[in-house]
This record gives sequence, structure tokens and C-alpha cells, in this order.
Amino acid sequence: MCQVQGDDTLMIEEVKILKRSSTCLKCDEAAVVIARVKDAFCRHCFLGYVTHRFKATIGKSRLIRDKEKVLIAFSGGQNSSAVARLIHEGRSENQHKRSDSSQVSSTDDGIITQQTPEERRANRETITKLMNAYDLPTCVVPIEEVFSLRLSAESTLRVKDEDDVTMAMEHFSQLSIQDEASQRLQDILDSVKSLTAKEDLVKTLRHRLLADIAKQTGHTKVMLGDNGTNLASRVLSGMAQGRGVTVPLEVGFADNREGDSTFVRPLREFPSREVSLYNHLMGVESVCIPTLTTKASQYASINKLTDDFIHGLQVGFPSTVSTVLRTGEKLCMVSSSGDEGSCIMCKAPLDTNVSACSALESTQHSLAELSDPDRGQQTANGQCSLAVSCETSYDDQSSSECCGQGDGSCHSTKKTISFGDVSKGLCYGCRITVRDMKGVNSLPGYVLEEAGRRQRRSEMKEEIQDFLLTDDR
Amino acid sequence: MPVPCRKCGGSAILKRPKTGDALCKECFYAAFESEIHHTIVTGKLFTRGERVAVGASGGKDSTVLAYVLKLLNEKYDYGLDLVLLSVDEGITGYRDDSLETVKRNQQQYDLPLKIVSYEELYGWTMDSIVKQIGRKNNCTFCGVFRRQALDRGALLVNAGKIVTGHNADDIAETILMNILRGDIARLRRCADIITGAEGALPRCKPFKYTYEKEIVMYAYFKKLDYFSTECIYSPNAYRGYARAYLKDLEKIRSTSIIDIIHSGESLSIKKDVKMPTQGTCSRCAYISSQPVCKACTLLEGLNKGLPKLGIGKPHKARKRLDAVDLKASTDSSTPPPSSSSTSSDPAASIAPSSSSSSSPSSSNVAAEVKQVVDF
Repeated sequence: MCQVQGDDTLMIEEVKILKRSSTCLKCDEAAVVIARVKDAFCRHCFLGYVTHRFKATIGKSRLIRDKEKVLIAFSGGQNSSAVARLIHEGRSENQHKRSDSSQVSSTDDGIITQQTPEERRANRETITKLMNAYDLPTCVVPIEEVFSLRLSAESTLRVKDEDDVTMAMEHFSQLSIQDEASQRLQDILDSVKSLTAKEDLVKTLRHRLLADIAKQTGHTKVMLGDNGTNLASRVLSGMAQGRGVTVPLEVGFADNREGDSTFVRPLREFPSREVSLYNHLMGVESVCIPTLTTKASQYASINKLTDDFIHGLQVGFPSTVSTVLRTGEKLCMVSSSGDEGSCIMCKAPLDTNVSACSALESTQHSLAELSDPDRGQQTANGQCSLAVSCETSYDDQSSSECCGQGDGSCHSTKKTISFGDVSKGLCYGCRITVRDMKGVNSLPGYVLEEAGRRQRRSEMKEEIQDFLLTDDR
Repeated sequence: MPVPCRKCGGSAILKRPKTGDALCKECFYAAFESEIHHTIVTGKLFTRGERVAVGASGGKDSTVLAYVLKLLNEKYDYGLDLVLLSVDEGITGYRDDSLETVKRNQQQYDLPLKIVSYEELYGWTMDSIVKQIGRKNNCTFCGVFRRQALDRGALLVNAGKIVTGHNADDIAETILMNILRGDIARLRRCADIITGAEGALPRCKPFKYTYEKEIVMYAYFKKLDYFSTECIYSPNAYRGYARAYLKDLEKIRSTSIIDIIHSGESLSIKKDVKMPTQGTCSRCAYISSQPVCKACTLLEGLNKGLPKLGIGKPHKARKRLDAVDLKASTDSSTPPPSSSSTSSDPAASIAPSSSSSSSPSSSNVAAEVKQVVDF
């Protein structure tokens, strides 16, 4: 670890430099902050640096055109507040410039942390108040809305008409929390055993909801507030949760797995410290709404552990965050093979079609070894193996599930879907999460619909298999 | 209350870390062995009639590896010619003891054993290197030299392949390490089950999907004779962080280790990322990404009495060593032929005697070189 020792000596030198330089790097004003590793800035130059870097990150990507409609995902926290503020500043500075028809949108996740309706209302008001400061249209959508998402909605064309957009906006801003959906989400969350899987599920659902809001309100980009430090930690925790294949999407500037709504991360070049400094200097208000792992121990979940690990390492080795991020940047996506090649939950390319000698196959081999036909239905200590289907019937939902398209694609959950059926359409990471749940039938409708659709497709294919000349679908 | 074995219904003795199943001793042995067989077959690790050198340190992984390979070789008739291969780093109080274990294993398993030592290969033992370099950074020497030593030993016994006892935990840890260090070239190949196919002897890791805990369990219940002591020289500090993180991950979710390996296997690297090109060392002809391989660079530093010079980024190390050569050749007090012979002749760099020639002026040179390095 020769390089690391080298860093040690570097650090000592830096401390010396810090003590010496009390004037700004760019002008001769008195410095007020240290940015990057050791650069002293005065207030004016630091704000200039942040604004420039923010714009440069967006500009460099060449993804956001002038006047493109951008949805800012807003949680009320430091990061998303900074994004909203930076966009706001950019707009007032230059009226005709890019992203001038943006919207701020927030999801209300109160149910996840089991807040009472009153608490949720209070949080919604706080967030709305914060969002209103940015002079942009706003809406707060309860996360339960994810259950009203339908596969069929995906095929509808993106709304273009101004009236449609206004209507959709109105629809979203007037959404009230449906008790039935709340109960359903609560049931799913309760059925997830580990906090790691719960966090993963919530993240997947929230992303899907944001993508849907963007689609229905005519936005083509969704801005997320992830900063560099978050993303470095995401690289490692993604790896640890078997999501190596999505690491490039998770930490890159753009995440285009949702098709026509691309997620972008304009703060990715800033470590968390610089975001806080910006907010502090600009007086940006933010609020901290507790999440699942707030105040939990570092062993509560993989994400929490990884955050702590990266923070701890960053203190001793200041180049950790940038090194990990740069490693993540050098990775790329494998092209997924068409519609059926992506995960039905998180839309990542499927990484489960692996060679015989691989981690996945070896685990399946270990599990298959044990599932003798006579004892196969029994699961050891409640864990559900891939070879064993875990069929739990949810009779009470059967009637409301029919999509009623009447063209044969109707999928009623009277015929309960097994873990095995669903898992075929899931990527490795989502399989781990779903395996942690008691049953698959409580998954949101769009997931089950897609699982059913794929299963029927493969049955159809099997039927005509002998007459197909090529392996194409 | 006895827990029933998931497989045969008898009384279970352990819970498998890999799947969480309760198993009896016999069913665990069967599962453990059949999984390694599965890895060997699906990974196409061996070909019939091959002579395979088993890297044996006397530790748990390599002891179980030697035992299981011999067993599977007979049971499934791989037709392999197994040889134990040990490297003697020359660490008193650690390696000499563990080598005794290997020698006992040789008799117990009735396999031929070859020991190669750093002393005969490089003219330095780890003990003498540590005397020069101190407790920090000595793992760099040991690691780099071991890699070559195993290859040279395998060539001496005419083996066409080396198997090592790296287990799933080791591989997951290496994947994390390479991300933390930003070593994209190693990140790409560290998850491969067979490595070093081009140039050097191929190496394979039959325990790639085997949890460390299960190896310990197997050795424990089979009462295998192994040596378990940490190396007496300080363990690698930075790797320690990755290891601690991995252990914590395992506590949260026991499948994390295999999940990381899956992630490592499914990574793909952008085509425009610059990769080091593999060539051969101009001095010892061993595989290297630099003109002169790391082992020769480190050795040169040692022999010139400036052991720290070989440590660090390869091109910087090169610059420093060239600066020493330049200094030596311009310095009238040191005869130029001795320095030029050390740098051009591979045999001379192995001879320990050459270190004495440059040692008189070494402290002086070190001071000047340090300045060069700082710029």
C-alpha cells in the first residue's frame, strides 16, 4: 500500500499549507472556506466556483438542451435544496437560458417511517414551504401512488399538450393519501425482513414514481441531489448488494434506464462538505426528515455501514471519495437485449444470464443440492431459496387486480404468482430484496403485470419453439 | 433439542454460512466437496494428465485445498498429478513453523513437496529485508516476490498450472480493495477464476465460491492439521480496512460475499479506459506491465542499499533508481562498472554481494535522491 503511505506524507504537508494560506486562491480577499482538498476561497470566489462547476457538470454531459423541462426531485434535505437553489439562481441570472420550465417535486415517504397522518401533513407543509421559495411549480406526491402505476400507463405517449400537463400537475398536487394503498405499502414493508432490503425496495419504488411523475407532467429529465460522497458510497454498497452491473448507472451523471425520463445528478462533482458550505453561505434552508436508518446503528443496513465506512476512510485518506468515484466512472453498461432483458422492478439490465461457472450458478447449485423432491417444500429457518417456490396467496386482492384490457393480456392474481416466476424477470440485486419478503403477491401491480406478461410470452415462445428458425424473439 | 439435518433428517451439527441450512457432518462434507467439484468442472480448471502445483503455506486454506484436491482427484478421476509447492520467505517464528505443517501434510497426503526460498531465488530473506526497510511496506516485497517464487517453483517441478487456496472472502476483499485503490486493471481480472493465462503460468482458485467459514468448519470437523498464526510482520494496514468492512457486511447479510463476487463478475469496463499493456521484464523475462518488473525494481533498490526506492508508483520508482545510477556513475569514488553491471545483468542483481559496492555512499545518495523525488 505504497501509494497510501505516500498520501500520509501528503496530508501532513497539506495541514501546513492550510495554516499558512489565509487569503483566497483567486483574489487577495480573506479566505472563508476551504474547498476541494486544500484550496482557500473567499465567499465570492467559492460561490462562483460552485456555480461554475454545477453548470459545467451539466454542460459537459450535453444532455440537457435549452428550454428542456426538468423535474427536480426534492426531499427538503441539503442536497436537493442546493440543486433547487442553483437552478433558481441560474434562472434569475439568465431568463432565456436552459431549464427554464422546471418543476420541483417531492415524494411524501411518511408511511415508511410510520409517521401519523398529522406528522405527514406537517412534513408536507414544511416541504411545500421550502419549495415555494424557488418560484417554480411544485407538487408533493405520496409514495403510495406507486400502486396506481400500471404497465399500460407506460405505453401511453408522453403528454405534449400544455393543457394535459396542467391537468396532470393539478392531479398530482391534489392527490390525497389513500388508506387502502397505505395499508398495502405498510404490509409490503412489514413483510421485508431486513432494513437493507427495505431501503432498496423504497428506493426502487421512489425512482419509479419520480419517473412516472416526470412522464405524466411532460418532463424529460429528473434531477437528483446525490453528491460525490453519496455516490462513492453507492459504488461500494451497490457492489455489496450484488448490483455491480448497475454501478455505472447509479453513479454516473445520467441514468437512462427508465427510457424517456433520464435521471441526472448535477451535484456529483461536489463532496458533501462543499454542498453544506454552499448552503451555509447562501443561507439555503433545508430540513432533515428522518429516514429508515436515521439514528440507527452503523450495522443497521448495508447502505448505512458503507456510508460510515467511506466517511471514516475519507478522514484518514482524503482521496478516497474521488478515487472510488473515478473507478465507478471507468465502468460501463452492458447493453441489455431488448425489452425482456431488463429487470421488471428496477429496469436495470438483467445480469442473471451467466456462465455455468459463476457466483450465481454456484449458489444455485448449493441450493439445488438440498432440495430433494420429498423435502423440497420445507425451508430452513424461514429462508426462501431460489429452488423452492414460496407461494403465499393473497386472496383479498384478487378482484381489484384485473387490468381488464380484454385482449388476453389480462392478468388476474387469482392464480397466485410464485417467487420462481417473478424472479426470472428480476436482476440479481432485486432478487435478493424480493427473497427477503414474505410473498411476491404484494408487489406493486406494474411489477406483477410485467412478470405475468413475460411469463406468457415465454410460454408462447415455447409453444412455437419447434418452428422458429432463429433464436430471435 | 436436536435440529434435524436438512438433507438426511439425522441430527444436524452445523448451520451452513452459505445457505443457512442445518446439516449433519456427513452431509456437510458431501455438499462442500461436491460444490468444489462443481466449480472445477464448470470452470474447466484442469485437463487430464496435467501436473498441478498446489500452493501450500500450511494455513487452513491451502491445507484443505490439498486435502480436497487429492480426494476429488481420486473420487472423480481427474487424472491430475498433484505436487505441493511451498515458498519459504525466511520469516523466523512464522514460516519455519508453518513449513513443518506442510511437511507433515506431505506425509499425511502422500504428495511430493517442493520448497523454494527467497534466499536462494533473490539472495534475501524476509527477515533481512525487514531489517533494511522496517515494519512498514515489507508486505510489498513479500507479495511481489511470492508471486514470482510460486511461478519459478512450479517451473522447477514441471507443473503446468498453480492452484491457490484463495477463498470467496479473499476475492470479495480484493474486489473491494481494487475499487478503493482505483486499480481498474486488477479490478477487471481479480474476479476471474483462472488468471495469468498469458505469459505466466495459469493460476486457478477452486475455492472461489467457498466461504472462509466453511473451510474452517471443514478443517475443524475433519481435524485437519493446519497452522494458524498471523505473520509476525505487521499486517497490511489498508487491506485491514477492506477486511473489516467485509466482515461487517457479512454480519448484516451473510450472502454479501458471494454478492460482491457476482458484482465483480458482472462489471464491464469502458473501452476507452487506458489499460496497462502486459509485456515482459527486460531483465528477468517475467511477465510485467513495465519495462522492468516490480520484483527486479525492488531487488535493485535492496541491492543498492536503498530499499524504499522501489516502493511506490512504478514510473516514479524507475526515476529514482535511474537518479541513483546517474549519481553513481558521475561519482568518481564509486567505480562505474559495478553499477552498470547491476542494472544490465539479471544474474548480478540477484547476487547479494553487489549491495556492498554502493553502500558507502548510500546515505549521501539517499539525501539527494529524496530531493529529486519531491519534485
